[in-house]
Amino acid sequence: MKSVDISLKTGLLEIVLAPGNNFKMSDLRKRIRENGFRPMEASVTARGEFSGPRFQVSGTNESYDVAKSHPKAEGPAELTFDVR
Amino acid sequence: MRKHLLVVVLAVGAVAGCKRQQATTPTPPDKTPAVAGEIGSRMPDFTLKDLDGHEISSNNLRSSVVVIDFWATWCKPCEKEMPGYQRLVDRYGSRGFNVIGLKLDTRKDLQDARAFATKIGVRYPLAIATDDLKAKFGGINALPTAMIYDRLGFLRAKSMGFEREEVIERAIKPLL
Repeated sequence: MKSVDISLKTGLLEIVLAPGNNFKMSDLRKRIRENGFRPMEASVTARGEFSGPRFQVSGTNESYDVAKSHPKAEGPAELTFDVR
Repeated sequence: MRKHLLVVVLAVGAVAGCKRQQATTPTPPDKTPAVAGEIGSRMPDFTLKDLDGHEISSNNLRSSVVVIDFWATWCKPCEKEMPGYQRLVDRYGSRGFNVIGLKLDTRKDLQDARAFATKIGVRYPLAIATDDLKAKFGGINALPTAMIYDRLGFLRAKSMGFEREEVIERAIKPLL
């Protein structure tokens, strides 16, 4: 993990991950709940590659459905998407 | 009562450089009506006000080459990409090239949208993308999403994720 910034005033937790991390969104949500917070929607900015509609985050086992169709994946992409 | 926490995760840096994800080589659209947001579809009809109160209408854009760029203030790749669009407008605006930035407001902005635009040097029109408008473009699931329309109003290329200026330039030049 590169940095963590939390603001209780705005209710925003910003985490910057280092390359090669083993981050799992499910683990983070669990930790947040364990600490008495209710995790809301998450916005993820990541590099990865499309495989059909799924976006596979590079260097992790995390993948997300971010597109209804994405037929022409051509290498790494960097994008922001919501995770619920 | 439990406190709520909004999570922002930045997991970039794992791969050096970025390439386009979905940008097609411009080809003439076939005669089959395409689904909204798919290559070959027509630019949907819309009229809206930009952040400065000026009207933007799809009718006034149809004789131009237009990039419709969906963005948000919390989207880091958008922040990186948008100055490139401004440079393309500066370079090709006189030849009928326009960019319209449609801002998602699905969550609270981290900073004022106009201040954000000023900070990154963007002067092309920016407006709010309502749910209805996003649906007209086929739905927006990730940012940035850019759609390139030709002078006839057909969608000729689409990209999802950060795109380099020269890639967009290569896509728009044959259409100008």
